Amino acid sequence: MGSYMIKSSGGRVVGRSHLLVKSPCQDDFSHKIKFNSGCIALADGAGSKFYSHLGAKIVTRKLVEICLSEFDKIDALINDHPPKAAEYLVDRMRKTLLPVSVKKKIAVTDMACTLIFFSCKENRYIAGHIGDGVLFLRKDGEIFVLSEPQNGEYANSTYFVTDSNAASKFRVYSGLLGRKFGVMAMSDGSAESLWSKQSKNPSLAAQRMFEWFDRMPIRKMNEIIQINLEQVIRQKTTDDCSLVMMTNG
Amino acid sequence: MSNEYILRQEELVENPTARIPICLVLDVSGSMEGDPINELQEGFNVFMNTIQSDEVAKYAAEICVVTFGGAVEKKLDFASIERQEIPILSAEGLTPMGEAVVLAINLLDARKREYKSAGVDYFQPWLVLMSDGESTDDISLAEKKVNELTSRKQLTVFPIGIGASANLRELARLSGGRPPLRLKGLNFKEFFVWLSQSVSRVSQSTPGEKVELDLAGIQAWGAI
Repeated sequence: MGSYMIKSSGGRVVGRSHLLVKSPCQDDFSHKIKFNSGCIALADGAGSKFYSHLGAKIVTRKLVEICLSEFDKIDALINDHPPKAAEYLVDRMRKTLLPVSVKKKIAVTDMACTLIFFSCKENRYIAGHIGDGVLFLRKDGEIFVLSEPQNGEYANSTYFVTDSNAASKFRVYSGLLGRKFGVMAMSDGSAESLWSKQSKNPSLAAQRMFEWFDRMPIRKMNEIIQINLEQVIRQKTTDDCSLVMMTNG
Repeated sequence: MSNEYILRQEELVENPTARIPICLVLDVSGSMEGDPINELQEGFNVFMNTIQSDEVAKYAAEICVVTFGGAVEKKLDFASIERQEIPILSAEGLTPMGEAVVLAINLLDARKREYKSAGVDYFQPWLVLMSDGESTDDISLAEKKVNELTSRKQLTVFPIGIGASANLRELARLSGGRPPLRLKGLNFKEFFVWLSQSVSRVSQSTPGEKVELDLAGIQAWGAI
């Protein structure tokens, strides 16, 4: 993997229903590359929680920081005891949100959000997911779903990192990457266009975006993601839409 | 930016809209003869037309109608609203409300199973029960089923009494804890407008969003 440079890019747009009532985009994402490591994280704030956009911002940034500084520790935890790894990550998120809740005099659950992350170091990866949204992994040229949405029975119910039972719903993954990889995390708004709920397969659009990112510089890819979120992906949902990618192509 | 980097529609997936199954359980017994059945019919027409003119709700709402008047009848089966023909309601006979509610629950349950097997997301089912009197059959099985489902948050019931003779205590037994409301006069249209707006709100809700019903809007048609 060392002969390829890791790069990351992402974007988000406020959904049409939130535009109507002038409320903020509740999706947020973060991404960072550091030497031979990288991490992307994406969160979707709970619809009815007033500070969920803040929760999404805080947990994505913290998660990226933790993964880049503690990759080996988390990787080992996932391999040795996945529930403990989930518990550790959820606990770190809660501890990050707690002082903010105290300062703002709100409950931690007022910052409820889903969370997806993927981090790589050399040829290894770790990933985690709670709630809706989808995570695609491209490995050996083939795109597959690494993590599907996990919702309640109804369309407007899902799981959040602030839930009391979040650790039991937090799915963790680890594995080896091929020489060339790509990863794409998206909120449920973007998944309406990019992932088939019935066949469980990625769309051709996802393939197209990986191809573009393989040959585009980061700044150009940021523009491509943003304009497609605004002009194409947002038009098929009323929800906020976000997308973050990382490749070593 | 050149169009070369804009995704084409055919490259996106077409996911089905999440559905809200709604079963209207309507009293068409003999006592509804005259103005009540005419106003109910008009209100129902307004409901169907309002849903159809709503950009999101028309794809989300799936409506079924069970009537009870003499016999219990599935008057309209679940389907896309664009393909449904509005049934003509006529009043006659007794009030087998218990049997009608059980049929409605079974139809909602079967529809949920169809959604699951087809990979279609759905919202919590609604049962709208409207009556101007009291049942002439045993409602204990219906009551048991409603209580089981509502306690597991698998069903929302809207119990509506029509006129002064509606037995609200009996409707309360079939409501899973939601207090029944009495329709003001024959304000069916106002009720069905409110109901269609509530469907629209739910159909646009996103995960984690608690959908509040328009309580102020109830004053236009109902009273406790």
